[in-house]
Amino acid sequence: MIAPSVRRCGEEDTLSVGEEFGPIIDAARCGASWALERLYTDLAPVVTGYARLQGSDEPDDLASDVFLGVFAGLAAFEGDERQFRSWVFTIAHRRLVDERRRRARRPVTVTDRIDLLDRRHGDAEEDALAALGRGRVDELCAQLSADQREVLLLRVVADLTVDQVAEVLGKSVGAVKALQRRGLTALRKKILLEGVPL
Amino acid sequence: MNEMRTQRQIDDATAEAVLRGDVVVPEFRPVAEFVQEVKAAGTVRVAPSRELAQRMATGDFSGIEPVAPPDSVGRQTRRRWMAGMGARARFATGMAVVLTACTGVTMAGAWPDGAQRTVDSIIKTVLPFTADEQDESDEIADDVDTESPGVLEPAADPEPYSGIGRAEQSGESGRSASGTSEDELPASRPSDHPGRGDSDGKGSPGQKPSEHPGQGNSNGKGSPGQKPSEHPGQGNSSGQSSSADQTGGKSESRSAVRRR
Repeated sequence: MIAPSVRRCGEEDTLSVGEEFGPIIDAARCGASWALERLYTDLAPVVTGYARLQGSDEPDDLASDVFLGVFAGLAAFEGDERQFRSWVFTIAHRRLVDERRRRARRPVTVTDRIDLLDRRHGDAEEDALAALGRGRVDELCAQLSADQREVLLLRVVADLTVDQVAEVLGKSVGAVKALQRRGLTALRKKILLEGVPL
Repeated sequence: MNEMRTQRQIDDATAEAVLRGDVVVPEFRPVAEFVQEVKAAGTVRVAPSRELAQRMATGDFSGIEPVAPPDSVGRQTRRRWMAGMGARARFATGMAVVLTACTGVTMAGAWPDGAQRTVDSIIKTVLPFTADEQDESDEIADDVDTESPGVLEPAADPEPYSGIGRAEQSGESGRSASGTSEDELPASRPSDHPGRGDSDGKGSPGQKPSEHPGQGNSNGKGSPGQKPSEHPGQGNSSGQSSSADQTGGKSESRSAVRRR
């Protein structure tokens, strides 16, 4: 089967499928491998990043688990790309809550994460700097309260709207706005007090 | 100075600008740059697990528990609405729903016998009406219709339109004296008897007329086959019963009223 000429997912592009989403989701419902791979390629990095910053021990496995559930339930899904994204992160959030209940532990720091240092892109210095940058992000996110971190990560990493975040978390829109205000204020305070060079 | 700067809260507009990556005042630039670093966390490509890769290649996801798709709009709205409510408001809403449901079931008489009596007694103490009141009124109406069909009881007529009752009696006696048949009985004329109810003059087949004067609440829907009102001026029939009713009985009724 020939895949349609869809725009490839750029690394900085979060809503990448665009107008092609309809044909892709239809093909994915029918089990077309190219469509499933496309959906996975677009959203798996975001889901993995969200899971990692939320403190998941195995963010890659969690992302794969999320997509297994999504693809298995794809036949019953109806909606656009935004709704699909919101659905995926609703599942990711539930999986994280389950994992947190099982382990009941705080997010790990960069010193505990061998996988970050294990990634090689050819330049050791760049890899080390990137790993350090990710480590600081991890640390600062880990210092937020759980509610603030969830809201900010869903807004920033998952690129969801306030309404979508409210749906995913089962909170009111006002509560989400208050949490993101407090979260950003707390982040700003920590950045200024700790003198983190950004 | 640094401490003072950290005390300033971020408002909604600034928060949105920071999260979107828009240009913000220098005061908030560090947090805006940090947000962009957080956003970059979702750009690292990851390989699927072995099972997911195999299933994506084949398109076969049988045996995996599917995740329910997003809720409908109504449920989402309801959930969001409930999420914004306090604990007391949720409790009050739940109690109102339960009470309304119980009242509805009780009104319908759908409880088992013992439960019906119990719940009905409870609701009687709370609400100003019960399901039995309507039933009782229906029973009375049925009794009147079945026990004395077409029977006039002038002696037991305590109504304020006693004159009309007498006129009816006169009409009745006149009728019997002249040997008029039922078809010749006078049709009622609501306009002749002020305050005689809300008859609207529409007929319906087989409807029984009201046997008692002053019962002005029926619709007076006469029709072929309908027994004409035996009491002139009674509000339940309004002249559409039959053309035969528009005969001498009417004049008898008028004369009776005039005599009165």
